[in-house]
Amino acid sequence: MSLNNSTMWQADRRKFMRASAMAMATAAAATKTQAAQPVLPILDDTQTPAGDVRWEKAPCRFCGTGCHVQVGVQNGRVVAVAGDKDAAVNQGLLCVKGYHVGAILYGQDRLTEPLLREGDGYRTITWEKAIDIIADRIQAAPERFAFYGSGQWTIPEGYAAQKFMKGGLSNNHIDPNARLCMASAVTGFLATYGVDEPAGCYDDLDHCDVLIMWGNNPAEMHPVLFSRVINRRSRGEQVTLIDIGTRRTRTTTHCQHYLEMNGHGDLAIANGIAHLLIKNGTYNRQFVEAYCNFKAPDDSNPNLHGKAIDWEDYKSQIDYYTPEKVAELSGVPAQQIVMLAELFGNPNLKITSLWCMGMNQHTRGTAINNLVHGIHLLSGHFGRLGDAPTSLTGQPSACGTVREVGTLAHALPGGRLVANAQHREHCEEIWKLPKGRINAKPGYHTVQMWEKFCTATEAGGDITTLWVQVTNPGQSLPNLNKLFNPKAQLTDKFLIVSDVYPTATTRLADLILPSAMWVEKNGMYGNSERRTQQWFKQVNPPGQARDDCWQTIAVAHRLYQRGLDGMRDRDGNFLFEMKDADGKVVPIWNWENYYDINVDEKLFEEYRPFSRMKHKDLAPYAEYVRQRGLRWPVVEKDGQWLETRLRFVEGFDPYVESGKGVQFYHSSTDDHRAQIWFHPWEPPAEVADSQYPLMLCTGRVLEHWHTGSMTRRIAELSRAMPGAYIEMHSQDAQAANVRSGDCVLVQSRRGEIKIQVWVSGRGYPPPGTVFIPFFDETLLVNELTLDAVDPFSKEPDYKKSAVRITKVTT
Amino acid sequence: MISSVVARLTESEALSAVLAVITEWPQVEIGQAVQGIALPLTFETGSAEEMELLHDRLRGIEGVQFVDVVCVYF
Repeated sequence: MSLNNSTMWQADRRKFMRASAMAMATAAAATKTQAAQPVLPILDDTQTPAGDVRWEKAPCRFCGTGCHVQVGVQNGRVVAVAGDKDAAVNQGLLCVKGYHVGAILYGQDRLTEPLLREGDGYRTITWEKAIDIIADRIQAAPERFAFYGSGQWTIPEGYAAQKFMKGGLSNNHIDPNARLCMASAVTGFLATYGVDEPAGCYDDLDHCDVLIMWGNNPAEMHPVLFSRVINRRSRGEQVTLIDIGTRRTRTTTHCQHYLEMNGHGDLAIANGIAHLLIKNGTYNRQFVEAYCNFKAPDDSNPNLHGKAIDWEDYKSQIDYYTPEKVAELSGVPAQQIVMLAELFGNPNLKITSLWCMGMNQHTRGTAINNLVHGIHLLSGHFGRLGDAPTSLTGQPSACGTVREVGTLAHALPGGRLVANAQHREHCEEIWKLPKGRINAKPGYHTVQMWEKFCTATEAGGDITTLWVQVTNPGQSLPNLNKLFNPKAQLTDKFLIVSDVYPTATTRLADLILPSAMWVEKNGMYGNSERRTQQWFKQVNPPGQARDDCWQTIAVAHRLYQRGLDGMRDRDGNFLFEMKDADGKVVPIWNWENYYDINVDEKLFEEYRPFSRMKHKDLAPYAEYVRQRGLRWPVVEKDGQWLETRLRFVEGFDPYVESGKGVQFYHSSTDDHRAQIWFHPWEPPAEVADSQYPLMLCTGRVLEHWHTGSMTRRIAELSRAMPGAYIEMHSQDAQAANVRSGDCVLVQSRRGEIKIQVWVSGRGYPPPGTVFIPFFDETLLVNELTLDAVDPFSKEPDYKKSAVRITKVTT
Repeated sequence: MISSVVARLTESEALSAVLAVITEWPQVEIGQAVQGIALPLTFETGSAEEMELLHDRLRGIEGVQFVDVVCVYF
C-alpha cells in the first residue's frame, strides 16, 4: 500500500503553526484593547529580556505532555515564559496555553487566606484555626474522612497524602481525579503486561510510519506532540495519520484517513482488525508464539485478569468480527477496516497508536485498552521505536503521582496493593510503621467516595469529612446532581477545599484553604512518557497561600501533638520527621521553617526505593535538578544515570535478560508473556431513544485546560474561547429550528443546562451527536453526564450520554 | 518561520487604509481586527532577516501606532 497520498500534506505543519500563531495573535489583540488588564509579556528566544531577569526551568503546569518552560522572574514576579530549547519533549516549542502559563499566578481573585463558612458567607480565620478544625473533624471520626486529590499533585505532595492516609490514619479512602480520565489505561496495561504505563515514549512519534489516533484530538489537547509529527511531514517524510473518532476535529483535518464510528464502535474495529490479521495470515506468528498468551473475560468470576484461552478459542471468538459485521456495529465502512488490517499486516511499517480520554472514558474502557494492545501484539507492531501502543495523560503528573506513587484507594507506592499482606508489610517496613498499621481493605474509588459523601449519613453515606486538594470535582465529576450538588443540603457533612482560585467546588466548601501553585513551590511531576521532572520554587505565593504538602504535614503534626497514635512511627517519632544536615529535627510543620530544608527532596528520597519494586527505578533527586526529566527505569552505569526509551525490549530496557529479545518481566502469568485479549463488542451504557434522541460527547478545547479554573483567568485565552457551546450538525440544528448563537435547553435524564449553539464550529459532530466542552464553570455540562463506570477501572463514561434539545425562545 | 503579531492602530478609521497595504503582501495572513484598532496578523518568511524587514515595513505604514510580536515559531 502506498503511503504517499498527496504532496498536500507537506504543508500541514505550516498550516498548523499558522493556525496556532493566528489564535495567539487574536487572543493578544483582544487583550491589548483592554488597557487596564495586566499583560504578562510572552518572550521567545529572539527577544532579549529587559533588566535583571532570572531564568529557571520548570515543566509546564498544564497537560500531561510535560513540556519544559523557562520561567523569567524579576522583582519576585514571573514576568516572562519561553519554550525551553534544551527540553527533549518540546525543543523550545510551546502551545498557546504554555506560552501564557505564567499568567495563571496572577488572576485577580487568588485565594489568599483561610476562609470558614459562616451562614451564607465566609469569614477569615488563621491557619492555626484551620488546622485545628481539620484535626477536630478527623479525630472525631477518622474512618469517615476521605482525601480527594489529583494528577496535578506533585510527586512529593501525593506521597505525603498517601502516607498520611494509609500509614497514619489506616484509612484507604484516598483517590484522585485521575480515576476520571486514565484509570482504564492503567487496568489495560495491567491486564496486558502485568504492570502499568507505556512501553514506548514520544520518540515513537519521530519514527512511526503510521500514527493512529483512537478517539484522540492531539492537535488541540497535546499540540506540541502533534506538531512533532506534522513537522516530519513538512520535511518530506511519509507519515500516514489516521483518526478514529465520533466527531471531526482539528486533528481530522491533518489526517489522510478518518473513520467515523458510533459510540463503542472501537471495540468492534479492534476485533475486526484482529479478525483480518488471522484470516489473511498476516499476524506475526513468531512474535505471538514467543511472547504472548490469550485471555478472555471470566463471566463466572469477573476479574481484571480474566481466564486463559488458547489460540483456537481466540480464533473462534474473533471469527464473528468480519468487516461487514464490524461495519454494522461501528458504522465504519468495511473497506476502512480492511485498510487498517492491511497496515497492521505489513511488518515493514512502524505503527504507533495514541489515545487519551476518548478511549478511557468508556464503560468498557479496560476492554478497549486491552484490544488495542492486543492488535499491536498480534501483528508484532511492538518493540521498535515507532511501533507502540501509547496512552497519553491529560494532567501533568497523572503518571508520576497517581500511577507511580499510587494515590488510589486500592494502591500503595510502587505498584503495590493494600489487599496484599506482603505488600503492606513491605510498605510498613519502609515507613517504619508498626506491623498491621496499613488497612487491608481498599477504600472508596472516586465515584463511590462522592456518592457516600453526598448521601445522608443515616442513609449509609459514611464519608462525613472530605478534603479536596488540587482539583475541582464540583465541575469535573460526572452526574453532579447526584455526586456533588446534594452536599448543599447535608449540613453534617464537611467539605475542605485547598485551591488557588474560587471554583465550582469552593462554592459548597465549608473550609477553603489558599494554596501555593506551580513555581510558588518546589515540585516534581511525571509525564505521559515515564519522564520524571523537577523544579524549584521561584516566587512567593500571595498572602497566606501555602503549599498543599505543608498543609497535609501540618494537619498530621497537629494530630501527632494531640496524641493520635497513627501519626507516630514504631519508634514514636512523627511520621514526617525530617532532619537537617546536622541531624537536628526541622519543625517543617511550622510554615516559617518549611523551606529550611528541601522537603521535596526528603520525601522523594524516602519514596525512591518503592520505584524499584516494579522496575520503574528513579534516579536520585539531584539528577532531576540537573536534567529536563529522565524516563524510567533510570539506572546507573559507569557513574551515569541512564534513562530508558523502550521497556521490555533488549538493548533498551536494562531489565531484559540478554538473548531474550522481548521480555514481559512483570507478566501476570509469570511466564514473561503479554496477554492478547478477546473482548466482545457491547453497547454503551446509554443510547439515544425517542425521548433523548441525541448522544452527547464532552471534552476539551485548545485554549482551556481541564475545568478552566486557571486558563479562564488568562485574559488572552479567555477572550479567544470565552464560553462553552454546544456543537451540532446542521441537520440536527435544522430539525430543532436553531442556528449558531441561539440558546437551547439541553436535557438528559440527570439534569439540564441552557447553552448557545455552534453549528459546524470548532468540531463537526455527525447527525445525532452533539459536543459540549467542560471548561466553563458557568455551564456545568456534567449536570447532564452519566456516572456509569467501567467494571474494573471504575472510570466513568463522559462521552456517551443521551440528551434532547429544545430551543429557548426568551 | 512564522511570526504572530498584533498591529495596534492609531484609530479605527485607519483600519481600511492599513488593510489595503498589507493585503498586497503574500507573506501575511490577516485576522479579525478587535474594536478596529488591534489587528492580529501572522507572517511567514524564509529567514529572520526577511521577518525583521516585514515587521519594519508594517511599523512604517501610516496608521500603525506600534507592532507587538507575540511569538515566533521556527
